[in-house]
Amino acid sequence: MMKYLFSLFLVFSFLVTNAQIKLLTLNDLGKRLAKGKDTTYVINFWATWCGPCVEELPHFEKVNKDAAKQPIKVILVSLDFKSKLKTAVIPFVVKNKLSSEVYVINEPDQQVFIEKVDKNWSGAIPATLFVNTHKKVRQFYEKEFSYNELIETLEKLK
Amino acid sequence: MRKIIYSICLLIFLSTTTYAQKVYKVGDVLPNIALLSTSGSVYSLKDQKAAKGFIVVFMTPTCDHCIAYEPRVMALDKKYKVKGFPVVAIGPYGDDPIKYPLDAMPEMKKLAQKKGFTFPYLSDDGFKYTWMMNITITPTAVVLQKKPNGFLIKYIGRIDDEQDAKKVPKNKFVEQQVNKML
Amino acid sequence: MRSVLFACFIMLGIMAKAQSGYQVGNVAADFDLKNVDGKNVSLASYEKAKGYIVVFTCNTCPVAKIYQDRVEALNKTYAAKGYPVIAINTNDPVASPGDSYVKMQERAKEKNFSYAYLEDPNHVYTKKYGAMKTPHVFVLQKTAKGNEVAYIGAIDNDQEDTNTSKTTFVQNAINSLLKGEKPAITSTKAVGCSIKWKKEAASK
Repeated sequence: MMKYLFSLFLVFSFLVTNAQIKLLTLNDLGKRLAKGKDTTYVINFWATWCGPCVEELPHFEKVNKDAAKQPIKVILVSLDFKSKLKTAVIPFVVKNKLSSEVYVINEPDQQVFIEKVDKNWSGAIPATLFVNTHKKVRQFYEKEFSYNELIETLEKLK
Repeated sequence: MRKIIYSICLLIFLSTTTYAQKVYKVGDVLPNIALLSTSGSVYSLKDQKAAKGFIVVFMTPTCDHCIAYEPRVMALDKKYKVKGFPVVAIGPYGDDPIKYPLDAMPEMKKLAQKKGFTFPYLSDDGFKYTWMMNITITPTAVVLQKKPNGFLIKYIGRIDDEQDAKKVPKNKFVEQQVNKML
Repeated sequence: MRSVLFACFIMLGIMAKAQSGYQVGNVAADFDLKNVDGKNVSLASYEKAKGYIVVFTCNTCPVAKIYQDRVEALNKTYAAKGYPVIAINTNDPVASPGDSYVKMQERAKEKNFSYAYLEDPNHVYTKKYGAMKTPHVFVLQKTAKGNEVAYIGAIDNDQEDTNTSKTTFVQNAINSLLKGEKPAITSTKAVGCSIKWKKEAASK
């Protein structure tokens, strides 16, 4: 019974939230970051199929919620396939009630975009990029973050 | 139109997957566990007439945390066997020492003898109960209560909240669960 | 104190994983692993091979799944030319039940694999080769030294078949090797899911 109710819920939810999660090119992301001036962007690369990524999402969500009045913005960039936007990503976002901005990466060449994000990135996720244009900050971490580590890193960037 | 078809497919998919492979959770009743033990004979929960329930611990001979928890598992058996809740250890990797030289039956036998286990150590050939209860890490404890139709799963999780054997745990999860039934 | 110890373990773990594994030019170890048909398979089993396409993969990762047909195509093209595909499942069956031997057999049957699909209990060869993701390809070439690693990384740069400037790394590498030349690109980043290692209960 629960399964039917749940799937009905999913049906309604993706009919409703269809437009809210978009594809994102690195160019678009770059333009967004450049406009940010004083904002510290926390860009987390994840995927619905990545266990450790899913486990640390709550920490990023908490940071995003707590930092509502500060110039800190969490952007979750999923490496799920574009073809899985409606079937995997949107249902995941709805089910987990993610409030941070979520995008699915729209780059055809994995080798190229991985290099562009960071030359030392092996492509493994989760990985997080901290950017503040005004402060000329750009730090990339190929690792999982605990909540405290996230807070500490943000403190050091102030 | 496509969305309607999509959602119907989703419904059908979801309904079929529920029957594919049942995973037993807390609150479910397990019919029985019957596996070969390091003593050479089959140990079956149903045959243990004196028991009121069981403290099942999934553990391997080699995992560091399993080794660290061995004294605590022995202590649980000593404390609760007399009260009707003996420990039953299960090695998830089964009988084949060629495939699993570190964790299969022969190593399990050596461990049980060396440490003088007071409880049976069973080998879960084919990962039957390991997957049935969705055990993905070791050590993991499952507390069972005997019922007329089987064994009610009261708890699945860590033994306590302290990895360091030298420190005192704040929460002894398994003990808390078993004490509730005494 | 405990967190320092834990951090040390992690560091050691990361270092151990980072340092182990093959580089291009290393001689790869042979294995003796069980195939889905019940028989054991080694590199040596293929006497006439000029090299091998060793694909570390699994049943459960979506990226590995999207490349399944391409792996099959690689075998169809190159086995006859002396470079058979040998697939090795990297994952622990307790940590990832979908990757058990029985599940591997089901997948091989369902998709009609024309290549060997081997299980690697305790991740022995996954660790030895240094596979970090699924899929992760190691192209080996038989030379005087032994089975030399000639290419490591991704199959191509086009997961979803949408790249208008697609580069088929593995095919290009083997085509070069067949001509007696070194591949132009010998290593790329493997993109995919992390390995489902045997897991121990961790504290948070």
